[in-house]
Amino acid sequence: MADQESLLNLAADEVAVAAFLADNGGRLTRDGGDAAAYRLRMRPAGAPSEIYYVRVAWSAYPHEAPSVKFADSIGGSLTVASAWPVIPGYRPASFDICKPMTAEGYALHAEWRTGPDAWPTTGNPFLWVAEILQYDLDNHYGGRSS
Amino acid sequence: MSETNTADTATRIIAVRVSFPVSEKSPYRAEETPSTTAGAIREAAMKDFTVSDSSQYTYVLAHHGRKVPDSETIGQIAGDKHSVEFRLVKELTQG
Repeated sequence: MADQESLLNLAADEVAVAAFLADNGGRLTRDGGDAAAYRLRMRPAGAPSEIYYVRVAWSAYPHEAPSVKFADSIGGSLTVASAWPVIPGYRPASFDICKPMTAEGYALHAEWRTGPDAWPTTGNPFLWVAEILQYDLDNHYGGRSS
Repeated sequence: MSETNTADTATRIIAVRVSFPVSEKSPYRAEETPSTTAGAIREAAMKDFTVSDSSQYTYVLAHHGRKVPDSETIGQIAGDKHSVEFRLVKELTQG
């Protein structure tokens, strides 16, 4: 569970994330009882009928990268391969994104923790993650995983 | 008529704004002529935000979500508008 400082920091930064998602036909909601977890409703610009639900869960914001997983619905299962888009680096079989922007990616690649791939703690990292997810959906989308 | 359009194009200025959420700096702002390329804007914004490309990733400009090629001009992107907004996105390679 995230500490009070994290929750205050998230409350300040989530406003910009909600606005960004709304501009792209998406929506930001809290994830049930965890105040530091969110569900991002997103869709690729090239396939607007395909809706994706991304769970972004923070342990210490902005100090640590979030867990990022796709769910089959708001509040739905996080272990359904067809909930995931086909995008390089997104691994539906492992239910993770292997990039230096997620807790799962940093767990797999300890070498990313320092240097140019290190997690950014300045500005609004929540918006940074949301922008990369939307960018990948808009520019690298290869359909829905099966 | 065509002379007027040519003159408008020559003197037209487009306000450019580039945001980058994990920078402590304010968004990069500039006023450019329509012939300025997106690549020139990208490089100027990266310099302002003190970031650089590497073999593992590149920084790209996104306009309404779309990756903007370096060769496109600001005039092409703006159309008849007087301003254009970009997001600087770190295009990450997977592990």
